[in-house]
Amino acid sequence: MRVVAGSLNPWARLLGGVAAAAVVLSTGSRWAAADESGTCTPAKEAPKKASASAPARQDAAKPAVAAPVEPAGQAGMKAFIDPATGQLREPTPEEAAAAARLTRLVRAGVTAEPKAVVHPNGMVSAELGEEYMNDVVVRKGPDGKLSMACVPHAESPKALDKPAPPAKAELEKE
Amino acid sequence: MKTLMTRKALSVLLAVLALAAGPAFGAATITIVNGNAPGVGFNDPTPAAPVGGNSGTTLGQQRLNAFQYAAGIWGSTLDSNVEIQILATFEPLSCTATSAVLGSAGTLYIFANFPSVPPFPGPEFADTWYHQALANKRAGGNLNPGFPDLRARFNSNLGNPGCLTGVGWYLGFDGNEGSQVDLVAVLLHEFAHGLGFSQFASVSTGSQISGLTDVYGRKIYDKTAGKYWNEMTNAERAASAINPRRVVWAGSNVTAAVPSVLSPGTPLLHVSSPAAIVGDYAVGAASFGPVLASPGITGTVVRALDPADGAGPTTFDACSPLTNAAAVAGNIALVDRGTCGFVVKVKNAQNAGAIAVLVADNVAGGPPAGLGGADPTITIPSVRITLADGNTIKAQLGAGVTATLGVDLSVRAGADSLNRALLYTPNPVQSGSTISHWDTIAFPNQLMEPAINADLTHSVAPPQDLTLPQMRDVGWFPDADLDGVADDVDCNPHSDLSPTVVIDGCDSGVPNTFFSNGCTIADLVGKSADGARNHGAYVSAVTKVLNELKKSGVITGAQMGAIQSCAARAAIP
Repeated sequence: MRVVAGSLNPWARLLGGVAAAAVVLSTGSRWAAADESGTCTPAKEAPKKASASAPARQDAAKPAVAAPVEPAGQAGMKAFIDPATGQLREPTPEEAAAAARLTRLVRAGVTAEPKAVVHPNGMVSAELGEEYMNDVVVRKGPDGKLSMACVPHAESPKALDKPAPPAKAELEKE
Repeated sequence: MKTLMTRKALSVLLAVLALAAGPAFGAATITIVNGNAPGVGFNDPTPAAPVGGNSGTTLGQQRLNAFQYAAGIWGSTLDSNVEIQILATFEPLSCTATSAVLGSAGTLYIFANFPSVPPFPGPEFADTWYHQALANKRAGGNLNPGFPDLRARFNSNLGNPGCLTGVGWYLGFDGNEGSQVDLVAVLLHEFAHGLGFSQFASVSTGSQISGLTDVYGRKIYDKTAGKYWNEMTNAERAASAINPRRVVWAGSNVTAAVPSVLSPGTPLLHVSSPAAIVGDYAVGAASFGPVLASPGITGTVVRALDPADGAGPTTFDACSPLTNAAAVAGNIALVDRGTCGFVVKVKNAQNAGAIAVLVADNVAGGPPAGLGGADPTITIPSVRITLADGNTIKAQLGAGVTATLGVDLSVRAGADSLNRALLYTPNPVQSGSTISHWDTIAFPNQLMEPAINADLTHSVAPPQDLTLPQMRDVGWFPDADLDGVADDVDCNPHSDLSPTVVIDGCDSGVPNTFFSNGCTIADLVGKSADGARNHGAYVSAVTKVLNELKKSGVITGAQMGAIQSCAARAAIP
């Protein structure tokens, strides 16, 4: 599967340098090397690996990939790229809401305690905070060897100041 | 979440399973959504020389390529008809000159009791959390459109001054990272957590999100408690999280794969008497002396005594030449950890005639770590045992303790005697690592151990790795044609999913109805060619199939005729 999108959206620059780019890379069994040209092309919808029937089973309104990050001081300026045409357009309310959520995730992560939401159809969902993610921490020992370990996100800053959990190659000598 | 798809909407989408065009092929589309602003992270324009198969010519492009490569490995391994989105950024993360946060990843949303589009199976278990990407796969549709499945942040400053200075990312694909950090290996590990290799209960308190178990927890079995995690109270789960080498992954796919992945031989101390303490005890191997072997060394355990002197403050630390050499000679010496190096203790025991040495830890916890140090003159085996096990043995020395120190070749390194993989449950708990990783005793090293070892391959499947079988156990069933029917029960794992029945280029125009057993009309017609000796026999077989379909009301007489017409014109066989 080939790369389906480039990087910078020229419309973003017209909008004052807002970071409107959303590079979308699709991968799968037919993965191929990324486009190395560095050219800027509008983001497109990723080609589906599934049969054409599969999209019909999925949400028909695939969201546009919106710019999730804005530089400081330029919040609120966004460019939306139609996933089908690659052209700039106004987002639907649903797309705008999705983009706002993406922006929030990129900026600060979700830190609230997860709360389950029960939906009318009986489904239950919860949004996890970043405390449910593991940081991989690397530490260089006196001998120059690296040891890597997973630590909770909230504990990773202090984990930098102490030895990582012992790797197989790092044994106490007494 | 107003955008969450309802059961009704999902059902409508596939109420009539007349399928659209396209050859079927499996795997999953994993999309990296670049969340970086221009000029930084994935968009960093700094020129870079291609490396290790990564042909990018800028730093940002190489980072993207590495993400894509890792996503491609998982994408070609798992099957889903729903795109998996990973919202990713390279950004400055916490660092010191000698340590750094490399990155993180995980699922953003979890789902329970979600609907599915038949024949997609939905959740295997009720009231059980699933990672979003896995829930989508089993639902057969996107339960949370517009929201990424995973979030990944990685450190853009790695290797810069003050951020693990001089040790940066290796962005090649060939595993030749040398003294650098192999980004692809780290990504494979982190993506696995987000796709299904993680659980959501607190390892400190045992509490679960909204009181619901998760699909990972349903496979965690504590041999001491005799319970799965979903059967436990919060207190029992918290206790299980710190029950070293007694908690296993009870999933059939992993268990079946263990013999082909993990090497035979687990170092063990087997106590054969007295009856009160008979059993196997975990040991930590020494980096010096002979390696443990099978059947091992058997002897009486004798506590070594030495002077309480400047070398060591107790009479049990073996930091000085032993004073009870006559008792120790020919037996297994038991010494306490502390004050002097392990090689000193073992050498003193060896000089006294010991045939092996047990070093009892002086701090609580487990499993026992190894013994570090080097001394080429040491010729007897030695191991560390936990403080608790040491106390257990010490309490029985008066009754005479007989033990064998060696390797149990019937037990794989990283599994129990039933080939169930051991989960990482150290005491004290290591939140972040505990339970959501394999035990570090696994050999060869596994991708999902808590420490990402330098000798990892980029394989996620047997015979190198157990991660794919683990994914199968939590519900990532193989589905080559993405029709929602698992390959092992699919009438045709590679179904013809064309929207209409097409025979040898002839489009009958008849909707290619999909049946819940995984076959389509085109599949059934296609099977008619199997064994047909000539064209007449083929057409006859097709007619027989079509008659059955007509009788059952699947097709009309006119549709039957259209298909028959195509079959008659086909150059089959």
